[in-house]
Amino acid sequence: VLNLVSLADEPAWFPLDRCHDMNTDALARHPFAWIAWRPPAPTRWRETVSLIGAGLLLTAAFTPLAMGIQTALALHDFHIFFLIPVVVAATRYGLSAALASALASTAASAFFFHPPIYSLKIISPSDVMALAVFIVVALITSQLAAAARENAAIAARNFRQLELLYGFSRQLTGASGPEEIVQAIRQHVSGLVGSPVTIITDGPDDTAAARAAEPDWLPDKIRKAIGDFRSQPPGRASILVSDADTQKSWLLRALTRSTRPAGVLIVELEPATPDELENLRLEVDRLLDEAVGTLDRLDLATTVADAEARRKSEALRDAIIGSASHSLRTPLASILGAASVLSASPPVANDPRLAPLAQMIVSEAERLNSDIQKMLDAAALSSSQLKPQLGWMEPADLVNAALEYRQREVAQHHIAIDYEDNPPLVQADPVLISNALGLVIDNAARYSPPGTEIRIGVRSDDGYVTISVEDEGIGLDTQERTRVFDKFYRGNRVRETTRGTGLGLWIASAFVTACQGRISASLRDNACGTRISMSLVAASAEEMMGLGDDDE
Amino acid sequence: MSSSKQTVLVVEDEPQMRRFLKAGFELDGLDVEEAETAMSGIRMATLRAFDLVIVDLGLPDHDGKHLIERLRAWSSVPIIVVSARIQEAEKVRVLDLGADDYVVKPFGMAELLARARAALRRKSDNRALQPVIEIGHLTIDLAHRRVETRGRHVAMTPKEYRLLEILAQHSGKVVTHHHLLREIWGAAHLDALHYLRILVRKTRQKIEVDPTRPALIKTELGIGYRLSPPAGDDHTPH
Repeated sequence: VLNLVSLADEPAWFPLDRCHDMNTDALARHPFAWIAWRPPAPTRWRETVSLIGAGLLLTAAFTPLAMGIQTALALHDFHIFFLIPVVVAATRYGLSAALASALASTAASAFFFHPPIYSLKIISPSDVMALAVFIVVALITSQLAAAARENAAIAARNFRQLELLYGFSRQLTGASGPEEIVQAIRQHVSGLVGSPVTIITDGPDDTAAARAAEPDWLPDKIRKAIGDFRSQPPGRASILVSDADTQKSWLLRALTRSTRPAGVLIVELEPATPDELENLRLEVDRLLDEAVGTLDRLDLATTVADAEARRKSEALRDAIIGSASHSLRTPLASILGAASVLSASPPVANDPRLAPLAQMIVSEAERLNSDIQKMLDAAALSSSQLKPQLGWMEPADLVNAALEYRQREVAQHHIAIDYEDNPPLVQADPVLISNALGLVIDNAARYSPPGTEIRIGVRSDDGYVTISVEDEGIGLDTQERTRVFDKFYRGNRVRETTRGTGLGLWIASAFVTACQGRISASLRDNACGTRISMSLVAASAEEMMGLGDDDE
Repeated sequence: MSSSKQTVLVVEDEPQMRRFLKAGFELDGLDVEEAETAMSGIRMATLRAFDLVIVDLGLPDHDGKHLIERLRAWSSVPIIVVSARIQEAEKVRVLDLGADDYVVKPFGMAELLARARAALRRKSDNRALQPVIEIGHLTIDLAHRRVETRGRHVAMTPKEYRLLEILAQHSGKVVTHHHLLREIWGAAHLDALHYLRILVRKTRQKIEVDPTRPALIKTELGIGYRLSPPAGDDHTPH
């Protein structure tokens, strides 16, 4: 549960997001959380024993194999082969397993291969020498391999941390409101520490509409401690508060180190002994130090203010677009109607110079109309006026409606449709989904050369029916694939060459999501071109049977 | 065109719209009378018989639906609604009130003319419902409750036949989901849209050449279904 508090006169709580198991949630988003944050284990002997066991087992498993090879090939300096289990143990399980394996290998070598066989004794001095060399080599090798393993793990971890940090800062700068920023911080930090995180901000905040009661999920004692902590001058990095009733502890710390307070970050910790708690606190503090440092560098207060300004300007722009579109549409209806009468009237239709001109007015007016429709849709989406009317729909009806709606745009392309036999009905708002599909088809036609094929496929799978649209265009690069559904996003490669508003796929994805569906973009299998797939909830077998049919 | 000149009543408050509608209908050989408000439209319709009424929903004095309701009290004249930003629920409402068709603004004159011709044709046909209806390769013999495609008998379940029968009785016109659900399953099943969808799918599989691209039973998305009008009256632009 994430709450936001304004520092104005009295604290007020704004529930932003209910998430019961934030721990798992955060982990799902940040797969490296476990690597970054591993609770310091008090004793490791159990682990060490199992690692030694793994090393011994590896050698034991290798020995019969080695004996087989030895018998078959009658090799001489055989002990060198025992480096194999040692290296495997070092790279897979680390140093202790490697050492165990090295010792076991020496013993096995002495026992099975050096005369007298089946005795640990060794007669030949050269054998003694060889074994001694083997031990040294095995030890060095296992050290090196284990170090390499460690380095690889560190590099991978650093890389993931960098990746996460990069994603986090992108989320911050792209956020369109303080809530999104707080959400991003919360996710980031709870991903880092692997515990539920609450953030209370003092940022500029006028979203007082959602004022709610104080959170009752925090014990009184903790709430009081939070209040005390917030009224203190900034200085102390963090404090630990425990609650005897729930056995839980909370770690409080300021959100920034700068003089200007930006809020309090609260980490909920599981029950633990005082020593463990202190360890935890140090570890969490260290991690938070990094996160808070990042926040300082990103200048949180300014970012929050920027996001707020951005949101206001977006709201204003949407309002303008909405009212402008309405007033543009009225004259457009007359223009289109009048032009259509003109282009059909004999004097114009029979004059080869005039007929194309009248036709041009018609087609341009139609195009303008579809652009205005997009802006209206976008404005409706931004002000969340969208209320889908969900019902069971025939997939083919949706496809046919979208194609009819877009017949002018796809006139230059071949359309191939491939239906699965008797696909289930889908849950959809017919208008939203046929429009979304129309926008996707329009997009396919726009970004693939005339004369090429647009393939529409309808397949059901695992409770969903997926309608896919594939074109033979230039496909998507990595950036385009992740951003193609963003508002106003247009790919670098097409921005100059093709007309577009950057709204179509954004609207399509919002429509699909509103109908509880999913949309995704990918490259076509084994061919160039883009595939956009929308998956809609499929009717269950019972619903498909539920005819109550006394027929037949 | 028909022998005597047919007259259209256009009820629309915007002068620009009226001007192009008048020109468009006159070029197509129809006479046009104009009204700016719902009340004057109703008055004019009582003074003389029109062959077709075009009505905008957003009129200054009353909603266009009011005019449809009043007209339907005593007249079966075909009514076509033209309106901007018409929601699917609103379309269903005007159809249920008795409008024959609707066209969403902005539209091209060709589209409206096609709908108008279809409505006029229905008006002249429907005086006496034909016992045998032929649409493309499909023959529906309402008197003998028999359906044939390309002269071959098609076995239909009672519900499938009932669906075809209702659509045929309103051939060329949209029949709303509610209407079909009420007629086929009864008033208790008005929400069972998926029954209807599956029934339509099965019926299409029996009578359509390609059931996924139906030429006979057309879907009006979110509204209902429409049986294509008999040959020679096809107004769907394909």
